[in-house]
Amino acid sequence: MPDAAPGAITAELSALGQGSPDALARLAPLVYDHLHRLAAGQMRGERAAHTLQPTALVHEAFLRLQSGLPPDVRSRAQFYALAARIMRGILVDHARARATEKRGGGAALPLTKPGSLPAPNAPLDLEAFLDIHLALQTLDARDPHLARLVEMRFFAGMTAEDIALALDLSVHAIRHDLRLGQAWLKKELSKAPVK
Amino acid sequence: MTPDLRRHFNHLAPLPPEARAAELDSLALPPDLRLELEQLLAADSLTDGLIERPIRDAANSLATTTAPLQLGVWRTTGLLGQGGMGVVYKAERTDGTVEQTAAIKLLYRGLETQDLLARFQRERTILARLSHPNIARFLDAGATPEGLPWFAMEFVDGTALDRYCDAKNLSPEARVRLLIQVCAAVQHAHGHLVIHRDIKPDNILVTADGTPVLLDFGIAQILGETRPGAPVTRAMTPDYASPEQLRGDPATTSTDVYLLGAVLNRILGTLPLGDLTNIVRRAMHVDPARRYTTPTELAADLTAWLNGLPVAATPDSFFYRTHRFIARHRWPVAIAALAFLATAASALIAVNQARLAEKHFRDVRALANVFLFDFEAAIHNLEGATKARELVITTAKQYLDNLSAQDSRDPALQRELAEAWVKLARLQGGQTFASTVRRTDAIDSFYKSLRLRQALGDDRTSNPELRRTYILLTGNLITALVLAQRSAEAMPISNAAVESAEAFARDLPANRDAVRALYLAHHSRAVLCMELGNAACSIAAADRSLAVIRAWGEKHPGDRRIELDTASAELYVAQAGSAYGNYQAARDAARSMVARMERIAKLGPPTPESRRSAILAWQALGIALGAESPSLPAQPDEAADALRKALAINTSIRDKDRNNNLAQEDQMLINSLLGGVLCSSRPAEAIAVLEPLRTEILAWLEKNPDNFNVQKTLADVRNDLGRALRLTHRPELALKEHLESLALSDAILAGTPTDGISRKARVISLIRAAESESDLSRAPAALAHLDQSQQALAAMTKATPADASLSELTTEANKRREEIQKKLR
Repeated sequence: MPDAAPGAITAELSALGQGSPDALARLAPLVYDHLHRLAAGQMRGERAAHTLQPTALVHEAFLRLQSGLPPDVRSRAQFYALAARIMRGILVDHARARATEKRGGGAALPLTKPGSLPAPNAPLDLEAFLDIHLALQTLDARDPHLARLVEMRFFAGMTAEDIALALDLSVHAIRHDLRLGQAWLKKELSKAPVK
Repeated sequence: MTPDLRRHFNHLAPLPPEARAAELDSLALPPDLRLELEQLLAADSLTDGLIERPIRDAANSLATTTAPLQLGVWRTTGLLGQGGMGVVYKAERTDGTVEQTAAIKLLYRGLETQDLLARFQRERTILARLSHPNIARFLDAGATPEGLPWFAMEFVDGTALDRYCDAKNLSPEARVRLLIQVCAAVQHAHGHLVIHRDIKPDNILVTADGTPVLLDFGIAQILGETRPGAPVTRAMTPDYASPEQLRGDPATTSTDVYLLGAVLNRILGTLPLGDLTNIVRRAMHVDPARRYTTPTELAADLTAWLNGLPVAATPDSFFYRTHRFIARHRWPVAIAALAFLATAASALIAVNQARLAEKHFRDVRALANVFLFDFEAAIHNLEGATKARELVITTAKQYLDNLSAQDSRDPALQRELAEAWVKLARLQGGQTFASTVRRTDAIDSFYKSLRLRQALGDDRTSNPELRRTYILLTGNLITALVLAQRSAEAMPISNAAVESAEAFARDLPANRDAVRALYLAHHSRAVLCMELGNAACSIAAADRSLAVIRAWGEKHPGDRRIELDTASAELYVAQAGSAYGNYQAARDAARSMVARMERIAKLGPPTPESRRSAILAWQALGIALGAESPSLPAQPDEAADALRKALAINTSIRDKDRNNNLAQEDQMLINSLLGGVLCSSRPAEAIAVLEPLRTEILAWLEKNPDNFNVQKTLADVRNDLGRALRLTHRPELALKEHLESLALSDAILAGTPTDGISRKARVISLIRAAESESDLSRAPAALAHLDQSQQALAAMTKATPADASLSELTTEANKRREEIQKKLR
């Protein structure tokens, strides 16, 4: 399956590019798996600089996936949006798994195989991360466009210029919307926890 | 978001926060919308880290949660740790030969793996020979399919050295004993031609039975040779790399000695040290040749310390050797110092950002202090070290700013900081003898120190040492302010210092510190008052400081420090005498100073300070002999001889260090004085000196436009040149020089109206211009200039009646007026 993934993804991406409505649903698990393997390997290599470089990661994924695809701007944009959403999904699953682990559970770890290594005592504020996820869900319900921009900014590590290029919108407009989306998110995050 | 919300947010967000409220009011929005907008705008100013940080943490955590790995014959079973360069796994051997547990270091970064492995094959034979109870055995190495190298070594179940020491709350003796064992391990490796290069507390694990075991032998050696001088080592151990490693030079056994010293320094922290400080300093000497030759030698000194025996490392030899080393190798040391300080400073910044343990902060402070202070001490009296100093200044300041931001309430740390600021100020050039001209920076640093000391009560303390230090600091600050043309600002500081010193000396009349404080307070006051053109104050202060130090010197004959201080006091008596018309007193003091400097020269080899004092002595004598009054004629030839002696000494200093601005300034100043004493009696000789000097100064000012001292020198040079030109019958050219000089003084006075020297220079320009105008038969212009000079003189005489030179100038102006009026009749 690992080797089959890029080809399948390419096919689904083409379908997506041609407007097939449920291509996204079929695409997600394929890309998910691919990106996950990529993340585990690639990010290890990037950690020397102590920075996460999701942009590089997604570019890399795109370069691999698009072989055989026409350099089509539209599918490219969708790919980035998709990649950001997938990255988010990966991290949410991971954070939930870690939270379960912390509470002494850990029966189902969707991202790690049984017998996997105990996590190092790296600082991870799971609550803070999951709060972001929940706030984004709320934003998605209220203004999906803003949620998508914030997702691309923070989960795919794209700059306003990257996003403008991918979505074929003006950088100016993206900057304004990003600022609003971020402000809204920060407003939600700085509220006292209601739990 | 509604279009309204979006539109209003886009409009309001770019406004400055204080302008938003008014704009919101003017929009008259429905309350709901307004509330949401206000909340959004408030949230807008929060940091994006609120979103970014948790996501990054989650992603980083994901990257390190990985499945078991098969590395060669090893299978990883858990994660032991992770760092900037890689992760360390615990692993079991899986080839069924033996049961063996290893620690495997997997590097994040791919290197030229084939080369690396080939090198490892060569090295492993050597590494296999290392067999020592305090060394973890090297087992295996390889690379992942992706090309990431890994190294397997004997698994050691232990705690990092520094954490072990702290957890067990070990005594300094116990800590030293642990380090002696580590020295033995390193010595063993050196005996097998293996250098560690990466000794740090994290690489020394102490087992449950208290045995320290050194990890990673051979790894740095293999990696380090991948690319000589590559930043591999730096990435590994930024806090502990030796100066030569930071420079990218090859590591030697001496590097390991340095690193052992750094570890010792780290585990001792701020425990009371005594001789151990000297041991650390010697082990961590910037010059590898000045360190302990071997780890065994270091261990021997540590053992001597344990047994209460004298240790080989003494501060005297350290200082002496540092000094000699720097004299021979200025540049490499400067670079090493810079690299060292940069490391210390950046480590500090990292500490702040990460809010790491306070202990680490203290360590960095200790390391950097040892270095900053010793390095400063070593170059303080060294001519030719201007560039070296420049390099250190920037980093040192950054380091002190960081420490100051720590907001500590610990008085010891505050005094340490106050002392450090003064040292930095000295480096910046406020008071040094071979200084670059960075006076504003120096003044800021002096002020920082002064505020710290005032807050600590050092201006009121009964501790003589602290009180003297405070007075000395005020003196430094006053002198720096004077040099920076900010004299008026210094007067309150001087008043407070004199008051503090007089009270102090009354309480402790026989205390050396108290006497020196009193001398210093009056001395700096004399400097200040002379600059302000306050004759009475300056003469009184100079006389008082000379009386205080002379009386003390009579009780302590042959003391070089007191002799130098007395010479300095005499200098100011001579200067005040020359400046304010008491030429006899000036000549007496200057002759006494010249004789004193000749006596001092016999007390020991010359230092920059003694050389500079000798220059000043001859200069003061030249000025005093060149001045004339109706009762005391000038002796221009003797004056010129004295100035040529000053010139000869200064030329030798300047030629040693072409970057020494002060020596260049002095050279121009002495030449201008020489031109000045010659301009009346030997105008042709004077022109030969002054014309090239004028050109030189103009070129110099192009590069240093803000140097007021040199601008003032130029004003004098033009006046003297004008006089010589007039005497050689070129009144037109003479007039031009005087008018240029006048413009220069006016410009300086526009910025600092209180500048006494420029006010006088201006009056001289006016009178001399009138003379030339009279020669050229331009009586109205001449009379107008004389009017101006007489007005200025009247105001100056009213302000400082004690300045006798003003009445001479007034007499001269009156005489010129009579001559012109006579001519007109």
